[in-house]
Amino acid sequence: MLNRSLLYVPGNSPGKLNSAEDLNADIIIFDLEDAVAYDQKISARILLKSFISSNLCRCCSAVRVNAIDTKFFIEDIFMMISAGIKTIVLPKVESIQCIITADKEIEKIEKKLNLVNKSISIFPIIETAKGVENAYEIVKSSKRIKMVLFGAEDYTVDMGVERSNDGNEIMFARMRIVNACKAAKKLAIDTVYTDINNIHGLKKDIEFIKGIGFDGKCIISPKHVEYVNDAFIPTKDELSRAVEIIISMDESVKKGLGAVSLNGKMLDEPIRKRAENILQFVLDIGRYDLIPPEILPYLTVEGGIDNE
Amino acid sequence: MNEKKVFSVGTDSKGDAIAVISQGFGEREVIIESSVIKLFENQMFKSINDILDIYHVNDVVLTLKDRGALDYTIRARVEAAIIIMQGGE
Repeated sequence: MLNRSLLYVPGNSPGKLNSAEDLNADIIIFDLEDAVAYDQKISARILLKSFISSNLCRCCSAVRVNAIDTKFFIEDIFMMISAGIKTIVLPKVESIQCIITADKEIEKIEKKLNLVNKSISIFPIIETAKGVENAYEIVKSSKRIKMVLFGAEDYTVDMGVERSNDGNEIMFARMRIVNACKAAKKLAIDTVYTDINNIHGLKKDIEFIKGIGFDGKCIISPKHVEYVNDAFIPTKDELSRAVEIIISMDESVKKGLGAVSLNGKMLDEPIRKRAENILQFVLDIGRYDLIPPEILPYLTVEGGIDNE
Repeated sequence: MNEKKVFSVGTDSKGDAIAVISQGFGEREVIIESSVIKLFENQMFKSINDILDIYHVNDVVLTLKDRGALDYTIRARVEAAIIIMQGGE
């Protein structure tokens, strides 16, 4: 499953649901929370259940349900899982207790529907000051959690500050969340960029979050999908360097050399692992055209990297 | 004179439909307003009646104002109208 772009699509709009699949986002998050007015919560839930059950969307999808402390939560998760959704995006996660509660409720539903235990994933959204403080505990609290999302809109409200294009006010939260995710071996997904028509600002924002370790980004405008997807594809330089690293290290092993350097920099296993991840990612997204011919002998028939 | 309550779900956006439901006059009455009624009349009536049957709703007037909705939308709008009329949540 690719995770570069996670696009929110309102759960109360048939027109937007119908076109979601064509927007090329890696993951579509159908939204029952912020995108839906309070008096439309029930009709949106029914519409989304009907849409998902009809199998009209074959893309990778998840549903952002209403928060645990709302009266909508239990029925939201039951109806979405019954309809066939495998991933629940859980907003306003502030502590490990939120995950424990959600985990228990989902487990009841899995039993009731005869689903495999722990087959439903949770993507928590950390979007409060308390949530940021508890990030690592949250991230590592359940096997259901594959990735964690940062929500800067609610976070800045909680902090009593305005969001800006330079993002200084969310720097700490981003760093803490991405570090927590890396420590727990989970994927970190950045917040939405809300200045919809500011593509220059979006590109700068993506460059920054990619640089500090985020694995993908949430999106609220379909316009942003291509920029986010493209940004998370390794550049030709990154690919060439990855290839050089792997070849250099393999030759070093063959020659029985202990240490190896490339352009004056020492190479070690973490560097090789990063290089392999870059190549694997290109394979995962099917961009075989980007792979230099000299690396082809290193790829397995199945498309993976052959370490033998 | 008792005024009948009318419940409405959906929007008139393209691809959506509005389901309007109220207490009937002793029987089920379904009215469809759609530019494609000639093409899909049977299917639309069937979808609406299926949902009304599931909820055992017989004494109602249900009007569907269709704006090019797919079948799942029609079903969902009718279902939501019934649930809201019945005081769901």
